[in-house]
Amino acid sequence: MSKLLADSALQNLILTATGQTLYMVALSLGIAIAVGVPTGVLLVISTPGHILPRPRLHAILGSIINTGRSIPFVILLFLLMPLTKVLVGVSIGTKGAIFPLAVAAIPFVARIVETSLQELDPGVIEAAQSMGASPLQIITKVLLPEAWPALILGFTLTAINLVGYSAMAGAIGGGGLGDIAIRYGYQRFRNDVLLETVVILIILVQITQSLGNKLALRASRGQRRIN
Amino acid sequence: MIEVKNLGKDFITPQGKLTALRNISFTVTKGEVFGIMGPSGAGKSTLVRCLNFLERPTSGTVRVAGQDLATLNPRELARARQQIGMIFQHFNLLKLKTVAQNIAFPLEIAQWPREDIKKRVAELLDIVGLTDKARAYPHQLSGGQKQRVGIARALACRPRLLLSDEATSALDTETTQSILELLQHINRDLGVTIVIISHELAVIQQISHRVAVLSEGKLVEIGPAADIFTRPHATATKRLITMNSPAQGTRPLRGGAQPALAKRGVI
Repeated sequence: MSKLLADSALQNLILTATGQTLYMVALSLGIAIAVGVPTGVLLVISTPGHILPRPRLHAILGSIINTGRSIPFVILLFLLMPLTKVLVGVSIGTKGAIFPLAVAAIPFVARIVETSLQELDPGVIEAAQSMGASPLQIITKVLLPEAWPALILGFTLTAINLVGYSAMAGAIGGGGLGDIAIRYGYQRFRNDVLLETVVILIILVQITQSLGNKLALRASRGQRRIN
Repeated sequence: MIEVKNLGKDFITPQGKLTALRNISFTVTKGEVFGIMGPSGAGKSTLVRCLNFLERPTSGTVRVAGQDLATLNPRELARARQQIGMIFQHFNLLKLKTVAQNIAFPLEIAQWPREDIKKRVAELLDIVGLTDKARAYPHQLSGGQKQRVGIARALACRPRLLLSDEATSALDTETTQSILELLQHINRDLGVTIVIISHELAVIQQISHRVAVLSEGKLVEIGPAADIFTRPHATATKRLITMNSPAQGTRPLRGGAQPALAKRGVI
């Protein structure tokens, strides 16, 4: 440990890598939410018997999401490389990792939105319909606000998964803590570096989870059970 | 106020076609309290949902305030629904919104100006006697208070018609009484026409001017409440009334016999 602490250049690298990890997770989470939430909402409301039943669209969306979720992230990373290159300009590095991370998280977010919205009492939706609410009003004034605490917890879960996935982005030189752990910790036999990155990752996950819990609790307006 | 003609409703289930309502016709006059009773499974909830098109009838017509609901496009139907309030057995309040926000909700949907909403919510809180609970959340309220919020919300857009779907069935005797009194006040003093469905005969008997009896999806009897309960004609009505009052005849809820029966699963 003492040898490592003396090694200030390496410490700087780890600091930068922590920043890269946060950057990758935050940006890909943002994209995943922006695309995943509307997808999840569409998946729910298109269910037969829901506010905008479209059975075929529902089935198609469902199978797209399942396909996305069944590809292991390491494989997705390489599979998407050509597309990443076209879209982002580069297919490697921190920037190159954000696109595949977002793609991996979108179907996950969509399913989380689906389960959160399905847990809502159908009676509340019926009440809104009886007041003459349009489907859009039901989405923006009933479904999303009422599911908000559950959604926050779902986004927290997604963020934590993304921390894990982002470590794999080291495989394409994505930078971040995973990259440091592989290149310094594993390949140069620096077990101390390996340990330090793991400790930082644990701390990141803990902070994310307790922040998410706190926000969800506040959003649930003092109800004991969220949702 | 309401004109229902030859109404039928089929549900398509995996087991095949299920006929919930067949050939139902009746009218509800402006200003009356119209009760619909029948055993569970008779189609009461489906029928009341056909009155605001939460369920679309398979056949027949439903006219509310002169409008044939089937001819309306979605926007027109939304506007028509704003003039038809509805209250529910399980209240169906927004859990994460305060009492005041719940009452404001239909007004937001109808896109009232913010200032008007504020004024109207204060009025409504006063009507249902919950002014001191304006900032409470539903989970902090009793069942009766929740239903009062439901009633205030249903009345928000000043509807001329209120549909009540088993609104007292989740409440105890005393609370049921106070909710019925509130509904009577709304009918008498605000001139709102009320259609109330309930499997609790005492509720129907106490509040309705006229009553329709539903059995196996068919309307078997209709008439003034006094006649239906004292001189029932249809076999289904007779059965319903005797089954609900083996010893004492039908008495108002205050008698206390009904909840005991309910506990035994008779009602």
